[in-house]
Amino acid sequence: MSAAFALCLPFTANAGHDDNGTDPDNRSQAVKGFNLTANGTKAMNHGKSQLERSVITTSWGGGDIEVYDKDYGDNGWHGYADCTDWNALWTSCDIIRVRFNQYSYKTSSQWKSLGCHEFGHTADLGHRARSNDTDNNSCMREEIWPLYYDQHDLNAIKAGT
Amino acid sequence: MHAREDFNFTTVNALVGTAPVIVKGTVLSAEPGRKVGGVEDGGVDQARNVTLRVDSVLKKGGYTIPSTLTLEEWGWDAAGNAYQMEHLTWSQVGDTGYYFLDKDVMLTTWRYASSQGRVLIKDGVTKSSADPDGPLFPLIEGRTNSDFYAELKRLLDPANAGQLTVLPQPVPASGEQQNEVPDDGATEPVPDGSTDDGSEPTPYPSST
Repeated sequence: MSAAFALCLPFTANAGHDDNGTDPDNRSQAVKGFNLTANGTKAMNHGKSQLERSVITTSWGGGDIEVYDKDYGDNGWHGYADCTDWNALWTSCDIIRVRFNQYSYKTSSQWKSLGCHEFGHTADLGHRARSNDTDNNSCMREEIWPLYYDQHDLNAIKAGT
Repeated sequence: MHAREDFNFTTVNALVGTAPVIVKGTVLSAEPGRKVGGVEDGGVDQARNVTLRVDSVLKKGGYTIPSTLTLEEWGWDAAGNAYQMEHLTWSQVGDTGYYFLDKDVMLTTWRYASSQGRVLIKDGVTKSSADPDGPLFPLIEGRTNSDFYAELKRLLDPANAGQLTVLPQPVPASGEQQNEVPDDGATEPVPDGSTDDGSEPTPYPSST
């Protein structure tokens, strides 16, 4: 019943920043990029390496985290992550899609930060704010571009996946 | 869908100062809109076009604001599953509220300045589309319409223009920048092995 209800509505998570991403179905995630630009590859590589710092182990290959980049146009976002294959109850995700938008100019560091950010969503992380990242060192922030997960993020991945 | 957007507003001041257009409007209809992407891009998504009747214009940012406008929302994924951007729920016919908008530079449609850019009025009380856990939400949610409107008018009063926070708009990347921006020295080991073999993405819903 709950699954049927969920299928009728736009989906989103409504929880705190620690578990407000997409919950992966396990802690072993294969990463695959599809026809990425150099910037998209840079973002993916950095995101994968940051995920490796957590309890999640990664490998190269399809079926878990699939990464795309393109000029998606003036749509207001730099990147996003969503699930393309939920389990039956929509509680965890088999295949998580990451998209990077080439439309807006970003520095090399910003591309890496974006990779860290979107891969954080694949590990069930939500956004951080100044109020809960007072030392400004989490790439899950939106208004600044840190390069790494902080210890809070790493703990949250451990707790949430 | 969890996105990193151009803007993550933390104050009403910044939302009002940065959004080029602010209107009060009423949703007349909604229907499927344009399709974007392809198999090689992870699937074809389809937008949702919301027809908004403009009841009043509070800020027009140099644009000519029509009496009705088409506002783009998201959407459906390639499997036909509906999704929303962050906490911005789908607009419903009859919704009335304040819309903080920008014009898509390449299309005729309008879009939200961010997923935080809608404040509905329900039973005379404001309902924010911002993240309930974020700093903007409590500054908007649950206020009376008259109170929120008064703040908008105060912020938009030309006499207070110098007090508005205007965040810089994103700069479109040139073709060369899209190919690769110069490395700025941040170090990170790059994993070995090719990850870009050009193969087809996994069909979804997955059969695995």
